[in-house]
Amino acid sequence: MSDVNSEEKTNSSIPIGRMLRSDTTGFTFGCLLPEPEVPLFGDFVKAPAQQGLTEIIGIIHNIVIEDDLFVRQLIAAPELPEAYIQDQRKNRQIPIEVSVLSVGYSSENNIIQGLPPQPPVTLDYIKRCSLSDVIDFTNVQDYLALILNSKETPVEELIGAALQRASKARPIEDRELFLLQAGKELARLLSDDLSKLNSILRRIQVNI
Amino acid sequence: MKPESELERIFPDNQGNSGTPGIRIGTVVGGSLSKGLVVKLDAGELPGSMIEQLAVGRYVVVQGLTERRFFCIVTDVALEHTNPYVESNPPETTDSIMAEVYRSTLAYGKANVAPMLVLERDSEEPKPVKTIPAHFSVVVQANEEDVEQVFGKADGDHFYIGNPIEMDQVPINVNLDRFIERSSGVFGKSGTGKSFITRTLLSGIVKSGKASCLIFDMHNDYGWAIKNEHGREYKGLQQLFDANRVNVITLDPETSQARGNRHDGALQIPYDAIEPEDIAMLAGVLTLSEVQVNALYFLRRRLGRKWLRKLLSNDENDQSELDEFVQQGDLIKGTLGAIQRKFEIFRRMGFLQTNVSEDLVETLFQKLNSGISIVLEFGIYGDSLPAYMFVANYLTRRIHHRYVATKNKAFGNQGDEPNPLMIVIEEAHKFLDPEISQHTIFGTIARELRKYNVTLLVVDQRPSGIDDEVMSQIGTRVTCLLDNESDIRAVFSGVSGASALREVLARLDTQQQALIMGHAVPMPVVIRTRDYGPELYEEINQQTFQLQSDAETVAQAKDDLFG
Amino acid sequence: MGLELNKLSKQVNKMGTTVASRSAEIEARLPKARATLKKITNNDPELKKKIKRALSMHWTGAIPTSEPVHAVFPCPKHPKRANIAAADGSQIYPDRHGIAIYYLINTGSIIFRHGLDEAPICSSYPSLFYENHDLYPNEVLIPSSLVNARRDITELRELAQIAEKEVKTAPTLLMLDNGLLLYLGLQTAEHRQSEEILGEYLETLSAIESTNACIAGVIDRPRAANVLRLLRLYDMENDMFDTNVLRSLGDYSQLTDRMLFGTLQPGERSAIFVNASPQNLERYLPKGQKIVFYYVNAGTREQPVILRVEIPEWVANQPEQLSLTHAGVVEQARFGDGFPYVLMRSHELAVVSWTERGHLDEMIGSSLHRSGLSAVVSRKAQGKQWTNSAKRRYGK
Repeated sequence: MSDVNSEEKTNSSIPIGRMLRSDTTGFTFGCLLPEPEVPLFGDFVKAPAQQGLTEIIGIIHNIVIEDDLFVRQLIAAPELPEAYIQDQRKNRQIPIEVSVLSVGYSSENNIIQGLPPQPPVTLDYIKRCSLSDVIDFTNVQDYLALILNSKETPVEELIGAALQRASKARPIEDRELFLLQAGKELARLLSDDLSKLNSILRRIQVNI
Repeated sequence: MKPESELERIFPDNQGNSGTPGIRIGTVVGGSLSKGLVVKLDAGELPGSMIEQLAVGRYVVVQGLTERRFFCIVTDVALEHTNPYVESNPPETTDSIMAEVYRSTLAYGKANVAPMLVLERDSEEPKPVKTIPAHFSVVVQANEEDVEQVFGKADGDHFYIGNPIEMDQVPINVNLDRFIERSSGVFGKSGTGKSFITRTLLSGIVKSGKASCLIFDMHNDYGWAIKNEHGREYKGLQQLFDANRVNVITLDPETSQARGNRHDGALQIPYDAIEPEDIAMLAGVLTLSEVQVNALYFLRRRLGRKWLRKLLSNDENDQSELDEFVQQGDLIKGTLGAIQRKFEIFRRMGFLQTNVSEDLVETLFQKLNSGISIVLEFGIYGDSLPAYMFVANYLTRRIHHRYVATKNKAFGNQGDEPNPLMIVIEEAHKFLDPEISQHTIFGTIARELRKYNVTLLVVDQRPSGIDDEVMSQIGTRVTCLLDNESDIRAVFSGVSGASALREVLARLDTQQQALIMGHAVPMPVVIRTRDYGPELYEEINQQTFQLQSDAETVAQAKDDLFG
Repeated sequence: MGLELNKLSKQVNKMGTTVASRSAEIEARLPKARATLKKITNNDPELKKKIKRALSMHWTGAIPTSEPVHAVFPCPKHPKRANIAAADGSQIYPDRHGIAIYYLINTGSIIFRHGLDEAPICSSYPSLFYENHDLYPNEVLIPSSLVNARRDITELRELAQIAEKEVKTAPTLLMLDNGLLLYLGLQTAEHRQSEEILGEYLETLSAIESTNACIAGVIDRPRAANVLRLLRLYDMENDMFDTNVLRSLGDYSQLTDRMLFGTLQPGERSAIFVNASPQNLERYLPKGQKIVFYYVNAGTREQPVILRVEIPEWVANQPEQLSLTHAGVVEQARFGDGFPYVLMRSHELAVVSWTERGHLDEMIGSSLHRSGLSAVVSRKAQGKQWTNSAKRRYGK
């Protein structure tokens, strides 16, 4: 991950999908670009809410490639020529459902870590957070508590992935300090569940 | 982002302390006034390292919520954790992040600190603590300003004795007025530098002119040049001060001359001046029984002033006079024989003379009263505990007597009061043994405080041998390393809240470190004692000059006023 | 209240047994039909006479060609390289309850380069119709059938355009998810439009013919009985039958050609027949676009899928083109569960989903709003929207 900057340029604020359904704790959006880098588990995304007054920041915790009869019948076909595979992959817009856990929002340039006052509205554009968005948001670690308390997400994997993402958004020299601070916050939150803590800490190594 | 910066935002630096704040080490999380405060240590820049940077005896300052600053001394350090799982499943040391996270949060250092003094807001002078700082008060390492504020600056009343550990630039000063006001002690097992500290203290006292010292110099440590075990030579008091300030009197002129020590006279004691009381205290070392001691009083009564001479005499007449007591049934023969046998030792004391031209007691008193300190060198007699004790007892009784008389005569007229005197004795436990301290002059002096302007400076390696009651009267205690549990207990007897300092004392370096506590310092302090060497000599010279010029100025002013 | 299924269970059970017994009864008549087919010879003068008379009575049977009617042709080899293109269309009909009256035709197409490993080229072209002459061609709102016809001609035009380019690189097969005989079903009032459209359709077919590409209309689950009608005609004792007799299927009622050719082995096709419909013979034939057809088993042994393939006679007359339609349909169906893959994909590209329609209405609404009109959906339409499943799709 040496060229973080080029990644920044290409992905900063391109909409990656539209809102399907939402509540205050999270939302699900449909996505049509199954590209190598988008969307990723643990990625930070943002969605407008309250008619643009706030921008919700969330973390992708589930990506579902929806069931498709077309693909199913091809799986059964013998000697499938490459052209059919290419058609399915490149041309067919297989819908992807991406579920996001809301962890905070920005309002008038303030970043608040907590549940947003209103969820995003159907069909709103979901954008990927730029690297600087990610850095700004993750400077404070209160959102980790929100993830830990979420019921429907693979908490340990999700925190591990989100922290790796946030770490890599930073210059190399800042990463270790960042992960350490996050680790300390987790240790405070999980002081009574060290096996969970350990399992998360093992996922956030600097040099991966 | 360092934790310090965040905390400084929340707890702005105390305005009363203009200097740079000390390094933050943690927060108060519990404790009591009697048992000391519990401090949860910060993780530190290298997480977990804070505890290694701390040491018992170190000073810390707790910044209370109400701008009070509490000066405390670290008494213990410990490793703690928030979850017992940590002990059974410590993180892999190869996993740097995990280990660091643990060391920053779940595992932490804990320190016990004893609050000693509190500096109220807008106050310059620290006072003894009567309360403790609030929960979560910030604890910082004491910086130089803090220590100076507590121990004052070096001046005519304060004498620089050493530096706090790890603070080479900060002088710790002893309040000399308070040091001589009550009896003091220098303790430590042998080889820990007792005599160097004592010499340093004495040079300070002599220089200040606040008291005269009568030093019973058992091992020739104070008067003339002294060599340490490495052969290095140090100046004695006589070399630092002129004859107006320090005189050396020797009991052994021959040895003194042989060593090239200058002395200002030889001490001779006439047999006839010796009273049974002078010897009774030696009962222990001479293994005199009670019957034998009582016999001495009998002999003195019957034989008069020459009783001792007659006892030791080879003259037939003297001997038959003694035999008569036996025949009359006043003395048991065995008793007399035993006394005579045990008294053989006096024959070897060359300073005991039949005829003595000068009343040395009076001379010494006059010198001491006029501000001249006396070093009494024992020469070869230093190896003889009976001789040492005898002489110390003999002189002290008489000089004390003179002080009492003079003081009583003065009737509170300060101008006529005798010059304060501090008597320095070594092997003090021999004089202050619980068995005899009730009856000896030293016990009396220790107990009567400064009623007659006489105090003791006891130098001893076995403080547990000293009577508790006497010990509790020792105002200032300078303690080098002690490792005997009963000795450690003894030096802390009568010091409130001092039990917390035991760990400190037991972990002093073997040399040049001392714990000073009591009357002359605002709070206990562990110091690296200042070097006894050229720097000290130089300072003594300068101070002497200044004092003299001050005296001249005062004299001049008086002249102007009354002229 | 919705459908109370519990009240239907008895009826449903009865229906099951009825359907099963009827199906068995129909099946029982199949052997006779197949035996009859075997008996027919191509140069039977009796049959020719019967056909001639029947044609005068608007008979819609199948006319045998030079191929023996019961002949079976194995699947020819597919060329290593061929371009297979398909087009399909979908539409949004004008809705008087909508926020504005318009209709939309969305055409999707796919060009599949057989023999290359590259991804096919997919496209879709939506066209919005809102002008008066589009919406009210005859002073009343355009009927659905006319919208359908417009959609069909759009599909064909799309294929014609594709053919022009594709023939340059390889033999090219065009496919439609429909028969080639345009069904207009228009009222007399739309006579003018139907003439126009049919004219354009035939012209486009000719244009395709001139590109040297071949075209096939593929019909899934065909209900036609053209060949059975030929059998019925064969069974007549003489040529003195009347219209009513001719219209019925007699012993073959409820059977379909698909059942008749159910014996085709995987990949095999039937003989080619001419569709005897008056539209074919009266309208297509004069323009040189006579449509013929055959049946093919595009499925597997376990799961036969009988498709009807309609091709212009000029395709049938060129053996290479004919084989390409045959082999192309069979090959494509391998990856479409018995239906050509390109047709499934073109349908997918053309189809307009419910949510997409919602977006379109939103866009139109805000456009109207900017122009100073308020866009209000009628209550009826709203009710429909609310009660419809979100997954409903607009299709053909």
